[in-house]
Amino acid sequence: MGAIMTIYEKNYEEIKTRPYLLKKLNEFDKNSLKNRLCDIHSADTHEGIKALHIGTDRRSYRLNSSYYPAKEAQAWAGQYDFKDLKAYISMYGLGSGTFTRALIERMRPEDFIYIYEPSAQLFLYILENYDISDILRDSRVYIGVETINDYEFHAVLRDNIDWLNVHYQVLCMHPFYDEIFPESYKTFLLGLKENNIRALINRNTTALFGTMTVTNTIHNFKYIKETNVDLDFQEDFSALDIPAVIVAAGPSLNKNIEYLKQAKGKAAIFVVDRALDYVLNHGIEPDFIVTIDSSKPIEYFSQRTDLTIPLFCTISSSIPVMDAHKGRKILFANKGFESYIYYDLKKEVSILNPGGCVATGAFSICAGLGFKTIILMGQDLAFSNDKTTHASGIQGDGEDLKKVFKIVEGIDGKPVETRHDWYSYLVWFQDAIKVLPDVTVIDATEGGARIAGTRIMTLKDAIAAYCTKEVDCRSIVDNKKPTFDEEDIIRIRQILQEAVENLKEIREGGDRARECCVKLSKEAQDGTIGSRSSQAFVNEISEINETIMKYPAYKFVDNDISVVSIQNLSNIYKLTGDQRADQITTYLKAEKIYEAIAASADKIWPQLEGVLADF
Amino acid sequence: MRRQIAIEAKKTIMTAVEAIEEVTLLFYQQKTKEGYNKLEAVLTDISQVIDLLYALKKEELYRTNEMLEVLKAAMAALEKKDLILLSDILNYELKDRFERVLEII
Repeated sequence: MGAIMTIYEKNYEEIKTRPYLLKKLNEFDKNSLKNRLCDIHSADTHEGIKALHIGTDRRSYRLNSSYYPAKEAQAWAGQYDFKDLKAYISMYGLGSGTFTRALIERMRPEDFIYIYEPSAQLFLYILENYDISDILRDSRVYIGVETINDYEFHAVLRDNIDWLNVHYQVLCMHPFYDEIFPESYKTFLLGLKENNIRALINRNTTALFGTMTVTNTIHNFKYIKETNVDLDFQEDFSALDIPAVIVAAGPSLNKNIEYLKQAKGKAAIFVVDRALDYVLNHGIEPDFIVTIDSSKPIEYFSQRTDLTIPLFCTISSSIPVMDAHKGRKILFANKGFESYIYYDLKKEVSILNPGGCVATGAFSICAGLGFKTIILMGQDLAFSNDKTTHASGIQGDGEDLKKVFKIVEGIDGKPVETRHDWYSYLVWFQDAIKVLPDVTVIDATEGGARIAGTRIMTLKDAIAAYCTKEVDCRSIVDNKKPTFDEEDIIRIRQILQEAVENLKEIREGGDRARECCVKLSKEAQDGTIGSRSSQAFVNEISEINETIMKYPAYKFVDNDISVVSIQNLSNIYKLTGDQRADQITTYLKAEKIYEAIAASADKIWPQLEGVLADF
Repeated sequence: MRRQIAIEAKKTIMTAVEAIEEVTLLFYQQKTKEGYNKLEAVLTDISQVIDLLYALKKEELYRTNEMLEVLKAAMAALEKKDLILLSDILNYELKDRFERVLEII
């Protein structure tokens, strides 16, 4: 007969299915408790479930009914009705799990809940005393515990909340948690708000740059034969005991640029596109340039026409930048149509999260290449005292980009003003540093916002301490063959030819699906949805979707029609409750989207066919 | 006269039971302000029920003294601002007693 498991063992068994939480729980230092409580105990109730009692230095709280905790929780959960297409619920506070359980009972299979528990002390107590194995087992549940794995909070939000569902999130709070953990609750709400803003900005960016991404990718395909991918160099750089220096264009760059010369040949120097000419004008040739922005004007890159410094870029990077650059291009963050080419040819590509800007992209590259020490310079992420945005000698941003979003701590502990996008990058850096415990990140900016998790040093001291071994980065790159050989190029040509044919099929599929939507709109108006003929149209649309969306070339179309998609999908999660009205709206919107799909495919296939001449 | 008081008591008990359910649900759902807005009317209904039952006498049947003690416990919870305990007492102590009286009145 098997031994009966303790409550902790039951819970722990389920935590094993959450490897990251498990790892962090095992590493957790119980002496580092934040949001400390004076007392935690449980008391019997009229039900089988105990009531949780906690005490702070201000007062005591009974977190559950002393009569029937489960009934209380069900009454509480009854105010939440999940009617929209897919609910994303953010819940502040796990408590004993009783309220969470009542909420989960109301969730549908497609819904998702993120539970943020601010007290690691309480979470550990709950694991010992309350069976929450059912909650831990539920794949719709994500749990973040402050100081254990809370930094995943931002990543989970980013991955699950986008512009489609940003307005339909559900926010719940465990009773009393706002009183017990007021500062933590404020931070939690701020995190949600910032993610909502990010989602809407991403929507606007996607709409703005969707078509440009496609145009750039097709134009830049001609360079792919002579490129490498970042992972081609991972073995080379991870074996070297040298630091990476990332040079950004912040105002503080003026203070210490001259010291960078001492790092040349003893570190891998990565410079962001905006800072390139400034660095070159100071007589320093960096080892790598990094660019991401698909709309980067040439004047924000370089005035030089003979640049051969290796360039980390994406296939959709700015056309003027890619054309002006004459050296080796190293692709990273491949996630569009081109990722299929690498997949087909069994070439490994990194799945970096480049963050939202070129500096975060550079950091991701350096982490991916295996650098164990990363030195940041020019990474102010804040306005200077005189409200400048970039180093003197680098074109700054206009007045419209000088709105202060927040006051944050500076590297000297004094407050500094930051902008909305810089603040999101600051959070990104801090989260990224937390998931790279083996990497030492030195902030040698000597100004700007404090980036938690970094060691603050002057650049002079950082170079003296870490730049002690010789390295010739250029020869590493020059001696590396491009990713693709001649046989690969032949296959790439075939892939592009297939893509041209697939786009023609996508065009035809889009046209047919649009016609089906027209007929379904009519059936919806006549109230005959569900009839045999309407079902036949629905089935035909499903088949078309299944066919066209599995083509890698569909990624071109998806990007190209971003504006139309956004306009027509923005309320797709919201149901009015009037089935007929919802059906009519759905089919009218779908008609517009399929029309756009057909037009886009018809526009793109000749452009792609034109690229074949380069192969 | 007695019959009229009994009819009035029955009607008031039904109103009170409904009101208790409504206000306790608000408190369980942490809708404190809305709950407080309705609480005075609920307490008035409860007081009226007890007064009417007292008028009918038959303490051993209606256990009106017990109801008064329960009401005192509810007020103590209210004074401590323990709205969940208040709701539990109203729901599981007082409402249950009212519903029992409804069956026998």
